[in-house]
Amino acid sequence: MVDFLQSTGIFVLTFGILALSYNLLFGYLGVTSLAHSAFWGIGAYASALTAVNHGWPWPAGMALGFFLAGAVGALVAIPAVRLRGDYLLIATIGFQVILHSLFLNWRSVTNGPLGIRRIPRPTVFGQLVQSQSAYLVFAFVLFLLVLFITWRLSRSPFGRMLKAVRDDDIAAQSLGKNVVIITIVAFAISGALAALSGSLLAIRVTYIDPESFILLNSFFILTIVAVGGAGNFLGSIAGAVFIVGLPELLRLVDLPNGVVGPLRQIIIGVVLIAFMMFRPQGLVPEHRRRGGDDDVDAERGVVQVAPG
Amino acid sequence: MNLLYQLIVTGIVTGALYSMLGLGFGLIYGVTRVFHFAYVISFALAGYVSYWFVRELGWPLLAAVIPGALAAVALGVVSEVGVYRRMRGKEGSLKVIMIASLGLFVIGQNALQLLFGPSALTYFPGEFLEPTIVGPVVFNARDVLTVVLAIAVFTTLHFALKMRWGRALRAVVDSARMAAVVGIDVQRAYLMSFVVGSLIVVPAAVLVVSAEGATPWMGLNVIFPSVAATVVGGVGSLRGAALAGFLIGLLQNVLVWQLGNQWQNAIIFFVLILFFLYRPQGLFGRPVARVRV
Repeated sequence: MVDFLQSTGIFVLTFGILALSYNLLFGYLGVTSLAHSAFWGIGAYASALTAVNHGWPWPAGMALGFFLAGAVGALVAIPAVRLRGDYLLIATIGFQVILHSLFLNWRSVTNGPLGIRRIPRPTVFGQLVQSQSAYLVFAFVLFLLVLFITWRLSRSPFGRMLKAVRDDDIAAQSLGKNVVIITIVAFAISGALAALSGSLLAIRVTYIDPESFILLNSFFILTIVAVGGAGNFLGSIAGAVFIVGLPELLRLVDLPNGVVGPLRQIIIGVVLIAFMMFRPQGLVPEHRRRGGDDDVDAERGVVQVAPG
Repeated sequence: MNLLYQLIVTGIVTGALYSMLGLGFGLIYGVTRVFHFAYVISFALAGYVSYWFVRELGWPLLAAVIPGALAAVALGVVSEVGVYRRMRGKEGSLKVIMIASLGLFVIGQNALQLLFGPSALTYFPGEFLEPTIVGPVVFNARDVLTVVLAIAVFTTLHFALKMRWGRALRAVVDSARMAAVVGIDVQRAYLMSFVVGSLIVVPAAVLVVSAEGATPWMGLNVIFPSVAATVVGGVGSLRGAALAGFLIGLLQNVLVWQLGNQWQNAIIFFVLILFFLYRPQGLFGRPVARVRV
């Protein structure tokens, strides 16, 4: 039972990092993207390949994944600058499929569908991280780091700019904000932080293959943030606990192996639709500031009664 | 040179399938602006249900198509009435509906996997697949049927959209608000687009099941080229979707010939992204305003 809780805890933290980074796009910038598990994969492959093939220490591999995913994130942002809504969603699915194709088919580098085995476990202060509890602490520290970064970002002028672009990009532009740069930087940071979680996955599971980094997992990350509540931290964290933790309970029930996977996804899908229908703001709604902002919202509400 | 002829023929057949599916998807998207991902579940469901009636109940295929069609349409109607309609008209509803349609898709695909298992199921192995050789080109009866059905679907839809209810649909494509002002029942038009759009998947599903068999993800293999056909052709343009479907079918076959099939999805998406960036209105569409969510 303790083992179960610990492994679920590590799982929740791994997806918690993904949710926090995805929230920058989905909650703050207001972009529904389905490319996040590809960024996750970039981090995992960067860590795995540098450690296995070149013997790099884990922080170096993690850093490489961080910057590489950041660069790819900036690339994915190119359509985001020009598209919104469904078209942007499809474009991000496109990047997801293209990157998964690379993991799967660029065999000389990624070893294709066989994946990469025997990824060395990390050492911290000369200590090999090996037990579940050690990994739990390791994951927790990384999670806190990402939480701190995203929290600082959200309180910064940059975070407010993201929300400004989300709420009305034309208004943001007319105030002299560079929407293009803001979008690109947001994608880069979001991708880079997601890669940290990928590195964590690689050095914890010590084995990765392309099947972890499929479209379905991008959907899973989207579900965490949408159900948890977009645009705030508690939402991402609550979503990770709820959406990752809840179906883990299925393991405690005795079900045939072929049933658990699909059943888990059905439950997640049903929960997602139920939330979208009855509580689209999620478990933890975004905190809207009082005073002036409320008045603005009220005005917007009036405008939306007779949309133009 | 002979290979070129073969590629063109195979491209036409693949493209006919994509055009058909693209037409249905494009109709729903054009009228309701719902990116109906569960469309591919309607497609798979039509295949599975007709399979079940043929193999388990011994119905002839032509009769088994009817329950298959009913199932596909039922799913479209349930998605619209049970899910999308309840979410429409609220703040941020476009985004909410988009996410819900993804949810429907994931539920559907996994439900199919639980019900029918992951392996491919065909009606009668090998039937319709006897090769015919004409000059340098090899094809079979199913290929001919694919093209004939695609043309039939295309023509039917073309004339249906000129009828009274079809004109209503086209009016809603142009502007739901204006259509409502002139007295068109927009809700009904939405529902109609889901009925007709889901119906169009049926011939395509039967063709795919008779050749490759039904799998839970049979929709996923064809939906992206079909969506690409809708977008590249221009949303709301019938001949655009038909022509683009053919072009994408051709491109895909050339790719498989040159590179093997592992890169084809990546390259189709690459083409699609280029279109999004440089010609979002497609080949035949009118310029679209940026849609905000």
